[in-house]
Amino acid sequence: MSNESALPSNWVISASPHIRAAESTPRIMWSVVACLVPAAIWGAYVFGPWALYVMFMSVATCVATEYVCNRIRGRAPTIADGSAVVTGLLLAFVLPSHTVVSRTLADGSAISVLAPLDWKVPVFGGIFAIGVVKHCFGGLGHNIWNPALAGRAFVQLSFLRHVSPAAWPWPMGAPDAVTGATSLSKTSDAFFSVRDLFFGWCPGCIGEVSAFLLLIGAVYLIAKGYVDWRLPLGYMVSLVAFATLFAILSPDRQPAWVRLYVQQVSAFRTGAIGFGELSGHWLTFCGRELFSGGLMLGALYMATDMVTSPLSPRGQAYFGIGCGLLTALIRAFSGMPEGVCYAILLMNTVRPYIDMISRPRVLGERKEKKP
Amino acid sequence: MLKTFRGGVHPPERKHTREMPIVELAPPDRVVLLMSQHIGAPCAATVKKGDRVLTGQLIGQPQGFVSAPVHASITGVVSAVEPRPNPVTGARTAAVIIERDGEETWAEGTNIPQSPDDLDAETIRKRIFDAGIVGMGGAGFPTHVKLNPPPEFRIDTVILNGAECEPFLTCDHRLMVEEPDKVIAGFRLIMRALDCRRGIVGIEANKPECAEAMERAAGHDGSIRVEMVRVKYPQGAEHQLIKALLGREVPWRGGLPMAVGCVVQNVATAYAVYEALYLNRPLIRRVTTVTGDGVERPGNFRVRLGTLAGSLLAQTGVKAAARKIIFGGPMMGIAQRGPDMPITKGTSGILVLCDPSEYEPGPCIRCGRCVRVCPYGLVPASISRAVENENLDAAMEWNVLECKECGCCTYVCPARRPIVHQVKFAKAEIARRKKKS
Repeated sequence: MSNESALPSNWVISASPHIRAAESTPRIMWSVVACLVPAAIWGAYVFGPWALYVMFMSVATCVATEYVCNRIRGRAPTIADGSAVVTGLLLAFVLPSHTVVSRTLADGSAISVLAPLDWKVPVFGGIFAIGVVKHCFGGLGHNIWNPALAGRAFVQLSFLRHVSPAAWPWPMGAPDAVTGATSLSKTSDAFFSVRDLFFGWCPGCIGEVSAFLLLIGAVYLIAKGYVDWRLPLGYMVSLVAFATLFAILSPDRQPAWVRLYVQQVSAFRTGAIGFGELSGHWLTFCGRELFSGGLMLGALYMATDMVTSPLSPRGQAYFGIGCGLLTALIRAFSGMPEGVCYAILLMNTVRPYIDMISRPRVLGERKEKKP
Repeated sequence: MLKTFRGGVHPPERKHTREMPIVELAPPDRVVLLMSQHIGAPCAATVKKGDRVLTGQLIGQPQGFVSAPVHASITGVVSAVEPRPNPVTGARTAAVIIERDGEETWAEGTNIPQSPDDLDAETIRKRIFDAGIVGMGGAGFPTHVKLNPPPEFRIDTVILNGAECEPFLTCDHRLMVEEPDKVIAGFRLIMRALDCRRGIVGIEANKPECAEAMERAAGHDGSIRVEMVRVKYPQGAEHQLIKALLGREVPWRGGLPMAVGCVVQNVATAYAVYEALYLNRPLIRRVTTVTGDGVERPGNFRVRLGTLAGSLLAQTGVKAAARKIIFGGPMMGIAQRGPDMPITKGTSGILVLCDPSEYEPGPCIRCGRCVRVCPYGLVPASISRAVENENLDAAMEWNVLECKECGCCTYVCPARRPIVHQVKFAKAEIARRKKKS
């Protein structure tokens, strides 16, 4: 046909659809990084420049490990997608900037002092997170466990003296700058106001202390659809529900504020305080459960890791509820003060099963008649 | 709150041609009429090389019940009866090629105005079948089959599909605005053929002028009502439109709309029914939108079936940077190997794009967006991974066969995974395996 000669040739053939949304993996990952920055700045502010150094070492190690692993596996470089930076930052967020160590003085008495965290902790944590947990399972999208949390679990076992959840450092300038008792510590009588816990004026890991700043970033991620609200909400609701139950079932060997709440419940039973007053106490109890330790960081940024959480909205809810139950169990009955890390890692492990039982209903699906 | 379904996406609408009136194009010098422009058995050509044919003359005899006849769309001489590539399947199928000669003459018995007012349902269905009418929204399912429900299904509602949810396309939009009376007249005939007294016209809320025109044409006898539905793709897919308008769910695993008491017909189909019964014209032309950033002068055109895309594009102009020719919309349309493909009964648009949208797929990061947008409640990520692992059994367990390839999952995928492509592959493999055993 004569008029065809005016048309271009070399037409592209590909399957539909022929347009795509302006969404990409790097965009998601870098958005997560951006949402973590406020909490990172707060961590550097309250724990000092060494916190910055730990974050830098962790991110640098993760990115370098990602590069090396891609080279070894003969894959195209994936550093630019931002996923290794997310892992590095999250790993640093669950590490302390300092370690509480005992020093024996000349007169034989012992005191506790803060020593900067050993550089080997973020480095080995990062290598394990990216090299073993992520790339041994196939790289981005294929890992079973959250790399940052697995890295943290690894260094906690390997460097117990340096990474001990029973003794996180206080913020700089706080009145008692050394004692390591945290809100969740079962052996101390430390009381923190919900307000201090919410805004991050308490001992803890670099990125986990300010629930407030973590929430701000998470609201953005939820609004963008990068995080399904069902997971963090399910996590928090199930945590306070089970924590309340377990506190009453087992009031011994609990942090002082949990024991206090149990006493308040007893007071309500004997009629000493009214229901309104008990409700107020319960809210304080819930606030301490939610804003202590790594709960907010875990519920908003760790459990919601796309790769290691379920696909469907219903699965996300199940996952959150499971995390809450396990966290409450570990907090109430184990020897450890905090359970967020292991709770999420355990739920990561059963994630494929959750995917199976949370398959959405197909449009028009009819119950199969068993012959 | 407008009615809608669960899931779906809302890509930029880009309906640049919505204000452009339908332009009637002169018959082309040559048409390529495929014997398979519908779902079902291809027709057998009833003419041979050298025969002179008149406009509207039967040239393809349907084979079986699920089939539809094909008519000559111009007056001229058959220059060849040979296999030609089909724009839908890509495979070569028999085609009758006609070269135009001189004046247009309609075949005997066609193009005669008459009133269908006292025809019974049976006759209406017969005439629709004889006119070769198929679903013109793209699927190409023979219309008379839909109008012949088995007696166990009682049809209580007929839906006229004016959603036109695909971005870019405006051919249904223009028909509703320009020919509302004829569209409604065709719709009433469809309702009569089904002996059904309730008709609903479903229109996406971005086309208020269509709703207004259709409401005016429908009158006030109460049998037809116009309903706006939310602007969301794939609102115009049968299952989704039924769900939105009636809250009913077509049964999965191959269930048909008639199983829940309804039949859905496209606006262009209703118009074709009008022409067949009021004017005695078989289906030989349709309105198609030529648009996209690769087209110089986009517009809506009434063209003869069998017109080659190239001859149409020669009139609208194509930019040198154009890289892709798509028959249909950008979400479900089919990329063509070149401009020498004929327009068929289901070609609602010719889209020419400069951006070929070629992406390097990355690994699935399990973000779950595909699950949230899937209008059928599937888990595309799991299907995609199963196909990637060549595990067809797993893909079947994740209900790959329920997928209608609407493309929402692939549209939103941040890793740019070719999920629709994988689904098509899996379906073909499963069919092949079934045939073998």
